[in-house]
Amino acid sequence: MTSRAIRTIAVVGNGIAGWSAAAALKKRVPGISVALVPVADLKPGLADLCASAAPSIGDFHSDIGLSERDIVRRTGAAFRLGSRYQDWHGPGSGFFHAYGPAGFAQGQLPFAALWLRAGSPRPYQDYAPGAVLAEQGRFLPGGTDLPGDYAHGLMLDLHVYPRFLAAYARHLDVLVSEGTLAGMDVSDGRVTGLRLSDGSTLRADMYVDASNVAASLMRALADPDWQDWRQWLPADTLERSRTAPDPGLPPFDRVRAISNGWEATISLPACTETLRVTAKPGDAGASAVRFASGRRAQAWSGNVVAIGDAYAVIEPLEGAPLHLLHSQIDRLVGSLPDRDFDAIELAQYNRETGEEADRVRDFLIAHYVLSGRCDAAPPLLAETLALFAHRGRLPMRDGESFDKHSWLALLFGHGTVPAHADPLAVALDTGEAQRALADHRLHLEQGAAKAPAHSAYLKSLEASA
Amino acid sequence: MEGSIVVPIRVVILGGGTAGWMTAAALSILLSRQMAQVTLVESEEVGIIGVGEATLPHIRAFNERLGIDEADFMRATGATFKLGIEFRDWARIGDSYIHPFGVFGHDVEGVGFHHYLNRAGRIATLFDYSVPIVAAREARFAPPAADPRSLASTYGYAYQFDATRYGPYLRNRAEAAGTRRIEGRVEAVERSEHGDIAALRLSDGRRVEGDLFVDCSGFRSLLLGQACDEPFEDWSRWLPCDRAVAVPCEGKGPLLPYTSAVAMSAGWRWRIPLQHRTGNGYVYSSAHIGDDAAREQLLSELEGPPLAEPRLLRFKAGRRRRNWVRNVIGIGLSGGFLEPLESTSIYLIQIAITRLIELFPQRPAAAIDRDAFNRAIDLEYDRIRDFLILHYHATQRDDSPFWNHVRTMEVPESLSEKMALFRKRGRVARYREGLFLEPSWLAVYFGQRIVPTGYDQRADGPDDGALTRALDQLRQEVAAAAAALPDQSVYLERVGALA
Repeated sequence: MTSRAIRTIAVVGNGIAGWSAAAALKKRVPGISVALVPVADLKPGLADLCASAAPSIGDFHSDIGLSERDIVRRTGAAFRLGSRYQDWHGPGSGFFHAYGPAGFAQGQLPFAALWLRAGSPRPYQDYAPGAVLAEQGRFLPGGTDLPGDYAHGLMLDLHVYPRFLAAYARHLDVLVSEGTLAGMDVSDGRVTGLRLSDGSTLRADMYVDASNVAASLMRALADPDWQDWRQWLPADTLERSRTAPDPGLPPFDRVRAISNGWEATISLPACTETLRVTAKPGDAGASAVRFASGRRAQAWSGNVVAIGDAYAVIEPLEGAPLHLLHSQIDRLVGSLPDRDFDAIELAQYNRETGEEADRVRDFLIAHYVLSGRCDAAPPLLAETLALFAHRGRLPMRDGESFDKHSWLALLFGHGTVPAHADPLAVALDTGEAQRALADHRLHLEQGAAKAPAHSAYLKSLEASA
Repeated sequence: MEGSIVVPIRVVILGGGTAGWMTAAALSILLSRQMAQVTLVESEEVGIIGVGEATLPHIRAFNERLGIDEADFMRATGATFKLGIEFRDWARIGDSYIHPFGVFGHDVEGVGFHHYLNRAGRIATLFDYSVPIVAAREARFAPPAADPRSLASTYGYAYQFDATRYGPYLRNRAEAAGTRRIEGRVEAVERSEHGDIAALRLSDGRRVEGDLFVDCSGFRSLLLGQACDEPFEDWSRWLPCDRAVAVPCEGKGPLLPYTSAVAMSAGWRWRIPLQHRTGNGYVYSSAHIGDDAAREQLLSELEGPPLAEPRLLRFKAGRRRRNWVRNVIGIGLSGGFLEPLESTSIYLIQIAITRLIELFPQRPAAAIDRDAFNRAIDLEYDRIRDFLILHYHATQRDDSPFWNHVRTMEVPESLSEKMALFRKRGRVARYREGLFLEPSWLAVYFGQRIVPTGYDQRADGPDDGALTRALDQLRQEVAAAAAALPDQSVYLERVGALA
């Protein structure tokens, strides 16, 4: 180990962001000690409030040594093949965004072009294995009889999961300070120590700001450099409620458009979680959480790196807050500089983290633009939408989280049809294409029918423990 | 679309070199005749450059798409297999490394192999952890194994072939698929009232009308550069080589599955071993050496008797500001030139063809398509440019004015940032589109003696003894995997690829 290596890291914040970062750093970076400093009356982050997680949560858990089975069994989580969007184009309209590719490629031709050539006999995602499983209420993790791949995320019981994560972090020897954050000493653009409520001071080589929207350390260090996203993502109010569990346990969340926003229904074994995200002028009521979408220009400044809401606040559509959090933690672990905090290393981290947040933001905005809820798109998104509407071309940008399959599910789901056919598809026989699609759909339905119901699969995990 | 009458786009390709016939073959084989009606105009009076005898693995996908049988293609073009490129004397005289079509070692828990090697103080042995490199050194070749767990699956391959035979080989296929070939010399270009090109007028008076014109006229860039007057973006301040002298000679020794690029006093020299001959050339900066001296130096290095008179080529590094203007698309040298140091010429042709097919014009061609095409091509050029400059700039040579110049010149910021990041902790900036992935950058950084001062802290995981044992074992496994491959000449014969 070089003499300038980082040996001590203090993570500020005792929400999901803080515990996740502390556990990952401790587990994945050899030879360091990690302390977590709680924040009194910490305002929850959006990751603490939204139970839906994208497939990236699987990597996060396995990277820190947790098996998915343990998570599901011990925290009452459920599997999530994607989201079903309802009423975004008027009452009764709907489409799936399930993770993974739809259909099959025929020679050189991508499935999307084949499907279009056949005249889109059924919705695009009807040919995605994850969506077919979801519509049947069934679940098996990948590698099934179904033709094609799919991925899954999770839906978390947020009354249990944070405690489980905290216990696991302690088990990994993350030290938890007695005192809570009371202040910090700053010198020369760096934090030199944290003052705690018990009168002690905690010093570390590096600090992770996981204090959610308070961003206590970043605020003390860096200039205000907030990039406001509200022109595209005006939602500012989040309300939650819990009701009795739905025994059907759909392995996906349902996201219904309502006036001024959306409402998600997340079915867990112990309860049904409802999340209402809206743009609400005036007083929202005591139980509502207010937020403003946007991000800092820089995630990393000096010896402080901000993660989660301390860096970027984004409404919890598509499991965005947890996804960004996990991805930021993974990048942080893989980008650790040394105690010099060289500008060149920080700049690279900031560039990648910023691009990633902006691309996720664009994916969310696309839902609003394509359903006529937002007039203007940021430039790169506007270009993507134009290219796709013109001839189905889909540029993949640096920092993109959602792969082309997710983009296709989104674009076709919202009813975008390219104006011009793929040049390679023109020679294709329409009738043949239709027959191939029908055959494929039949295979998918039959294959999916062999999988257990989601609820039965969850029970089988219990039984085999 | 259904039921409407599709009137095919008339595509006129000007030039019957490698770019021209690659474009003609791809368009006429892959697009239906309802979509495209392809005509190629070439003149036998005009010679072809025949760029890019050495290729990148992407060429295989191109050939496969066109339904080309590998052994048949290799026999017809005198091709050999290629596992990488050897760079000799680049960072220092006496140095040698191979940029392989493959990976180094394997990542451990998401941490790049080179970090472990750097931690162990063994970075100089990096090149021993690549199956294609070890195989190439021993003149061995077989295609990669299908099992992804096998070390023998960790590489790709390309070909070295006679480019003057590749065009004619594709011509047969293009003509069979409907390309109409017209022999003739262009005398004038006719414009429509909107400024688009409407027709080419040939010296015998014939007119060739078209909707879309693909300029494959080489350096002359008759349509894009001359008729459309699209400005050339000059990159010679970073890539000063502007001439090459080329000569084939009789081959000697075993058939090597790699191309060599040997640094010279004012540039570099290529050696491309084909079945029937060895291609040679000296790419140089005319500001630093005269044509006669360059030719003499090249001839003195030949391994066997020359098979032709040395040919002189003049060029300039850079590209047309846009490669698609109005209804004219430049593919190949008419659109830009980057020296063949990393065998990118045919790749650039191929990528332009692929994009053209994806964006194949509607009538009238849409600006959004042209913009998308131009942006994609720019990105490819920019990435390759930076990668090429790295070879020159990251040198310790101070034995000639040429090397003093490139060592001390300013480089594009996009490159200096990448180099600084790598120097610090061995991190390679990743990007989603464009050529050259992390293993390529690692090969050239380390080969050019850029060793990072730090490494990923996670590489501190294993203790010294365990790390040393694991590295020793992996090195032996790589050597064994390479030694299990046959000699390239044996393999060529086995698959019937020998002419």
